[in-house]
Amino acid sequence: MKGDVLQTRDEVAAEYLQQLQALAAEISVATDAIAANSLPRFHESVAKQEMLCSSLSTMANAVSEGIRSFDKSLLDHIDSAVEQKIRAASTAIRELNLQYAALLKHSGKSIALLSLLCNSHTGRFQEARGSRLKYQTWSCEM
Amino acid sequence: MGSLSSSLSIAVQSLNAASGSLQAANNNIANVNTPGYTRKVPILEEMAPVNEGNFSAGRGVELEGYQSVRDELLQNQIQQETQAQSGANAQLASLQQIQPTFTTSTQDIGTQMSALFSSISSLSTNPSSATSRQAVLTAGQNLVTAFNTASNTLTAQQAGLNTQVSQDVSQINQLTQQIAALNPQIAELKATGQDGGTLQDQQDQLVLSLSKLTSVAVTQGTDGETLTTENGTPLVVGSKSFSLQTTTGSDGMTHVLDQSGTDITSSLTGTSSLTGGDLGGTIQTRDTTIPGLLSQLDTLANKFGNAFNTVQALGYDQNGNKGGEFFTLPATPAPAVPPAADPYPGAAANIKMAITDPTQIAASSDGTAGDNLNLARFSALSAASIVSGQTPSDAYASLVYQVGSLTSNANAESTATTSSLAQLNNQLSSVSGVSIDEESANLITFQQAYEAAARVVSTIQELFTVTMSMGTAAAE
Amino acid sequence: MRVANLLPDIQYQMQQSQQALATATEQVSTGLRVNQLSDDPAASANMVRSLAYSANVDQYTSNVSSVIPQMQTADSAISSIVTSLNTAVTLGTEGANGTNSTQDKQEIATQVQSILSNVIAQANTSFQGVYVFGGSDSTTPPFVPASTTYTSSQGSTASPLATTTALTAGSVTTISDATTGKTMTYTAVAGDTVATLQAAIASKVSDGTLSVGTSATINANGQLQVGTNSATAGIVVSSNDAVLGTMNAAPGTEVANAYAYVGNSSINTVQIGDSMNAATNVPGNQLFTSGSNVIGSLSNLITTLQSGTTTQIGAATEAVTSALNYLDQQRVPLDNTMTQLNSQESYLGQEKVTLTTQQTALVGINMADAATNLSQAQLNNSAVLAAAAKIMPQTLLDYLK
Repeated sequence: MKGDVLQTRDEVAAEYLQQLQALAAEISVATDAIAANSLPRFHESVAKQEMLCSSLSTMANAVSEGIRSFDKSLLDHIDSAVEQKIRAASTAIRELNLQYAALLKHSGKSIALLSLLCNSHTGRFQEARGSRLKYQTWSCEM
Repeated sequence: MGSLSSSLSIAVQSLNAASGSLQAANNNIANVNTPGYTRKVPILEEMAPVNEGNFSAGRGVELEGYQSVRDELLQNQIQQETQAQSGANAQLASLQQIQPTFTTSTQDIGTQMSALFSSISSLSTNPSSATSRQAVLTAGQNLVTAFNTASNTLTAQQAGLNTQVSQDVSQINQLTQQIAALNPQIAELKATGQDGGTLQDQQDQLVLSLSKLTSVAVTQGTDGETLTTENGTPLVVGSKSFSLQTTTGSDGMTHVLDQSGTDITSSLTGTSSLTGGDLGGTIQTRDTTIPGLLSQLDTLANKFGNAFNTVQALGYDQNGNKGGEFFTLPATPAPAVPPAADPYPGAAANIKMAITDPTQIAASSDGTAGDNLNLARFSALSAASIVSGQTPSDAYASLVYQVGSLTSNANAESTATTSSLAQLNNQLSSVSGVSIDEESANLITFQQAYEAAARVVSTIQELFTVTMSMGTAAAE
Repeated sequence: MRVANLLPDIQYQMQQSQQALATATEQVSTGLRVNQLSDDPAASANMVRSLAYSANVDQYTSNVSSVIPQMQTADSAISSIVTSLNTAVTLGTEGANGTNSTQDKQEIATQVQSILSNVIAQANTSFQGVYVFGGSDSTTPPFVPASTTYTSSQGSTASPLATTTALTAGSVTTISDATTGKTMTYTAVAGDTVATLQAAIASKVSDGTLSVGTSATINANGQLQVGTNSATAGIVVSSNDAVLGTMNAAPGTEVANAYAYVGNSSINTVQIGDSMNAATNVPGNQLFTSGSNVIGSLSNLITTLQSGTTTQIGAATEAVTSALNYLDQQRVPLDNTMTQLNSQESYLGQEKVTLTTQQTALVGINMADAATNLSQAQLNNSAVLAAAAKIMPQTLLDYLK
């Protein structure tokens, strides 16, 4: 019902844009966190990304729903400058996402290898003298 | 955010005391079902103290040993990621130079094909118009030029990559010589009970530099590090280094041979497409990626040209003569067994206009001057599945997509490996004194976060589609 | 009311609203969001396809625009001829009145003569150098005055042509007969001589292509002469054989009220949609010299007015009426094509907007404004079409269905 529509599409769109930009920033933060091997920062960033994605999904559905229901007030066109920025932010995120996915793949492999190392640690090993024990042979499942 | 990590710390401490399992301490960890961490939570045994010489027993020694193995693992990973980064960069550099040729402009193949069809349609409204006829020839010539240019760009890239292969091989040989020279010196130091020290560091750096160029497998032995390619070709054994050679193959490309003359070119591309270092990436691009694109391009040129020639031959020109050829194409070689990668070699490079006189365009279907019905047959080609089941513009669109996504993937790999390398370096220099239990707990948390992150990645993919169609009637 | 007469008005209105549609699409921003293929490979590939479609739409639109004026020209020429024929029928009816003197009838004949000249001028209408009623042969006027004799420019008393003179292989000689309304086309092959041509003409007389008495002889000047016996029948002869040279109408024997059709019967089509081709011409012989043909019946009316009986004048007048009815039928395909062109023009305009919008969405940014203006323009266009539909129930309703 029109009376219940608290926001015009322009307002929704502006909020959408803000959150898109925040999401893009979070992906960058997460990438940096992985690079810095900082677990707490990464953890936090992923949680924020999850929240942003959920919010964006809901908003996008509401806007599309408006089109389908032919509610006139929701058919006002979005401010074109905002629309422009939304598309630009979306594209930036798409690219970041590709790189982020590749990074998760690569560093995921590293983490998994180390994890397996821990897994197969039995407390026994050979040692040799020297501060840099480069010549250890350590048999483990890799 | 804080609660999970701190509860893990507590759990770790209690483990140290009670050697219980991580699983008991925290439900979240118990719910971990990540692949790659399949079976179980590590069960840590009580460490028996070991006495040997000057070293104190207990956790300290063990930690050092663990640390060194972990470091070796990380070093190995750094090497792998470095290879991957170099491989991706090699591919990316080439593709970025190829991209502009397939980007929509006033001169790209797609635009010129459309222009040719437009000029033919325009001619159909007045088949006797000399101006319109000339316009068709001009459009045909422009398309031919676009094909030639695209093909030449690709083959020029290959020529450049040949040079790169030679340069990489000569650098590899220099490095292996240096690495081999260090082996006996390091072995000597070891024999006297000292560690490798700065010489070892030097050798490590050389191996890393070598990794940028090609995929290297390193094994330790009594006489030093043994290096081979991923495929087992020896590069360094003890104090000896084995040089690679280059030669021009029958395909005109620079091939890489091992010291005994065996051609190892195709084995250098790495286990997955972008992990063979610069040399691997270069060979991959030169021998697989570019030929793949060339093959599609040549097929498009050949099928398009032949279709036009068929229609031309059906009609009559302004002089009342039956049409000859519209385009000249090189002869198609007999099908090879196994089938050649490119069944129409040189089609795009050598396609030319066969007619220069506008009156020779076969517009008429029956010889009557002013008849335009054969032009309709030319026009119909734009919607016909003449290129391996696709219309000409769809075939070109596929080619464009491929170039774009190859570049996009190489770019993502390149960027990602940079970040991944940073992480590995950080792990390598991270605090000693971290216990195995604590590290293990961290790793699990990392893997959990990766799981969540992977889900977000998928969601973002979907969001992109939704955002792009948001606000239109097409939004679902 | 004749459909054809209203078309120009409605076309104008539709063109105006179509213009507004086109303007709505001009609001496209120059900012692109895809600069390299790798920025969005899928969008880039889709862009290739979309551009190909819109290039087609552009071309179809261009074809429609270039063909519509040509067909409008043809249409108004036919309208003019219809008017002329109505006048001729009135004159003929008057002439068939038994009270007319010979002089009266002569005067009427002169008026009909001037109507015929008018009709011929209309039949030879051209649009930007293209003769619209010549079939696919559009570079010369399709209707020319027929003569009774044509003489070749080659041959002389010193070196006369002979029956054994060899003709050039591949050369074409045509004879159009105003009386029969048919054309003989003769293509020489190696070994043919003048005698072969003569024989060919004779066989065409036998099968009725050429009127009785048409023949080719070598005259006293050593030139080939093609002629008919009758002073009222007419032929038009042309040849591209260097041996014969050009064929010239013998001066003073021009038969002014008989005309020959020197075009052909081909119909050209032009693509105006992905699976839509429009026929762009109706051949002149189909319109004006077939069946109860326009030109023949007018020529005949003149002759009967000049020297025929009242009964004959009456019959000739009825023939003109038949010709008028026949013309009405023959012009229908032309009208249909014009309707098709106009509705296609509107459709293409909308297609263009859709594609431009799609492309903007793929690589550009300013969709919202274009969408707003588009809906305005669409409303206007629908209104125009609806108004037109009321006036043209037969044709536009098909479109609106």
